[in-house]
Amino acid sequence: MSLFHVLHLGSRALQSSQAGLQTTANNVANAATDGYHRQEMDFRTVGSYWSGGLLLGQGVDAADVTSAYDRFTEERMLDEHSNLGYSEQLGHAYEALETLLGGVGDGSLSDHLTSLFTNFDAMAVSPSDTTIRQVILNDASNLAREFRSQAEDIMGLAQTADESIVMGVESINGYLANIASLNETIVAREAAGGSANDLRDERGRLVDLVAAQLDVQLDEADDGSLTVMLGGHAAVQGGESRQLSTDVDPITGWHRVVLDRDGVTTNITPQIRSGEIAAHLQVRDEVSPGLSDELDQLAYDLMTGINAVHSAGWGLDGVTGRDLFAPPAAVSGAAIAMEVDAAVDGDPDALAAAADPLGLPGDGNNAIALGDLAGALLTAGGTRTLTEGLSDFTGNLAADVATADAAHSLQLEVSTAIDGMWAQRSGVSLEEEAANLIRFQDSYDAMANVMQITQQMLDTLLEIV
Amino acid sequence: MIYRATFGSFKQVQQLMVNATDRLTNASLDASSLDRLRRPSSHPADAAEVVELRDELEQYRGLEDRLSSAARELSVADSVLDQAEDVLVRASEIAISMASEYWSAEDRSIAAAEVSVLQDSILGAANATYGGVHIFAGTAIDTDPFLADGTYVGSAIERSIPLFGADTLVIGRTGDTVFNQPGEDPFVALENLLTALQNNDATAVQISIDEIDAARAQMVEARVSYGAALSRIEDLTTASQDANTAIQSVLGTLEELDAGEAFSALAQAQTSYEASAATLVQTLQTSIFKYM
Repeated sequence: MSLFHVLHLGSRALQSSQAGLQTTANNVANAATDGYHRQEMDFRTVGSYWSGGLLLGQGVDAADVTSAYDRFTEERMLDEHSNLGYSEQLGHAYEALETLLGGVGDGSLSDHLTSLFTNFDAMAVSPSDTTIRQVILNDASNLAREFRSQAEDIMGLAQTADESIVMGVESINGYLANIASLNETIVAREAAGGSANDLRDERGRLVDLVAAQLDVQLDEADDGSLTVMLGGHAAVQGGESRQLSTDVDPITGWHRVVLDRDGVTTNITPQIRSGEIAAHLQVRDEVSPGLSDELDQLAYDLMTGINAVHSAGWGLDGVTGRDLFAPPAAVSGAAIAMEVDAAVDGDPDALAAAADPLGLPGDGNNAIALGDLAGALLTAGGTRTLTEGLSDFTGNLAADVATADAAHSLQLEVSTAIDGMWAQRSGVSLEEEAANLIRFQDSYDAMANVMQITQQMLDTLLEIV
Repeated sequence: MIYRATFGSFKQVQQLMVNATDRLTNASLDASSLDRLRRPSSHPADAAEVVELRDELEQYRGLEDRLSSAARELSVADSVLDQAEDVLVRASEIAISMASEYWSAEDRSIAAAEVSVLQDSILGAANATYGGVHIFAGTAIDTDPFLADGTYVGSAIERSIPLFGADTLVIGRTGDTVFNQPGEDPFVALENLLTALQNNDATAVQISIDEIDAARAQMVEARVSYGAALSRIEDLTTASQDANTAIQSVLGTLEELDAGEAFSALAQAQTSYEASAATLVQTLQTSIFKYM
């Protein structure tokens, strides 16, 4: 045992306190950094030695910096962030749909339809009144324009979703390449006995960004390398990443998400269940087509129902057999193609108010029949009136929006809770760091005092000499 | 729950702040618009019901417009028939007077001239128009339905207006059902009286009295049918107005927010926002480092 041993011990203790202080400083500096895991200095006692029959300790060493990582919480957080991305995007899409299609006031589909039927009845009172006839043509034109507009809005939403899928995929590729690169660095550094905590944090942050776009499955190897699976296929394995891209489905014309490796592509679209891309897929492949089908059916039933009655009547010009709306070729696409038939467009006299060619021009009996269609069961397989059909359309959409909104609120609660759990286990507590700061400062001060006293003792010895 | 991480708890408070901001924004929009269905998804079933109620309301409004228009035309028709009845009353007075052997051929010739004028009046009544529409022409509203000799050349199809559902109301009868009923035809009755007067035939004049009275009775009968239609219109208008009021009341409940509730919700949202903001600031400001 010698005083030099004590000085050496003190020096190592000071270095350990400095390392602890630096770890604390790093935690404080990264307290608000996304994905940063709290780091802790692992202090270990340095081995003892025998001196003069005594077993003496040799102080402390800053052995390792560990990262506060809880696998269960990490995986749950990843899943919930993926679910949050899904519910958030779906909520946005429904919110847009509600704004575009959900109106019940002036200018809505139902408003135009009501106006058309009311004015059919008005034409029955004054069949030869050109003003009323012109108003009906305007009503029919406005109704057709609103159907077209809504069909275009639905189609536009599907197209926006499709474009968002492409953009989402493009953003993911950068993340995958960086994850692969980090894999290599982490494996190399840890194999050399170093710490790669910061790199792991960055890798985790990138994985979180990927998970926000689509669901991922992870598998970490013993060497620290992370395999990222997308749709059941490895997108990142070791230091290699596969290219995620999109191609166009030859049948639907929409983009598919494919994994590309050495020119071989695998379509993973059906396996995407969560994340923003899953929401875009649902909007494009389920929500929009569903609404389009409903709108097309309503438009088809409306046009065929009105045309059947209108074509049986007679215009003021004594002509019969004309449709009010251009006859739809099929149910599919009926709404977006809806327009007033060219044979009556711009010609009020062509409106068939009369039921009998001899009854002109005061014959409004066909106009009465047209007005009666308001109460006819023309849609939903002959079970609902057109107004009821529109009411169902509005109500169902509103219910779907409410459901999506509620699901998002719930998911937000869950995600916030899991974020809180993560913060509790892996986040930085400034209070805790402040306490550590004081602890290391005290330790440093105490050790410095020990060294000072040891130095004084050495000086005393030297004075003897 | 006490969170280990300052920034974990900060994020949660931050989310509460976002939620409070959303609530305040929605409450502000609700209070400023007082529109309960501003977002139909807030009340999906009510939104669907409003679509149907608005449709019904417009149909009732349209019905009231049609009834009002029909009432005006039917009133004119009734008035015209009233005048026609007056004409026939005068014709009857002439016939009763001229049936007496007291009068000379010259007297009857003078009376015939007046009857000729009465014929023109009846023709005018039968060809009467309202707003350019020949009232007794059926659906052939743009031409005179009666020739000078009383022959009906109008349409054989009645004019009707739609009521509610498939129900209709006739407002434009065909003129022959009003003026050409066998044995009750005012044109025939007046023509027979005129001929009798011109021929100085007191017996024929006497016979024409019954014909004129029968025609007069026909005018009264026609007026009764128009009166019945007017009465039905009045009933329907009242029923429609009642329904209209009831629907508007329901729509008001479904579409309009109660101002008191809306402002109360706004005040509550403001309080919640301020509390969240204060909590957020407090969370940011609370730090042990301040005490070091």
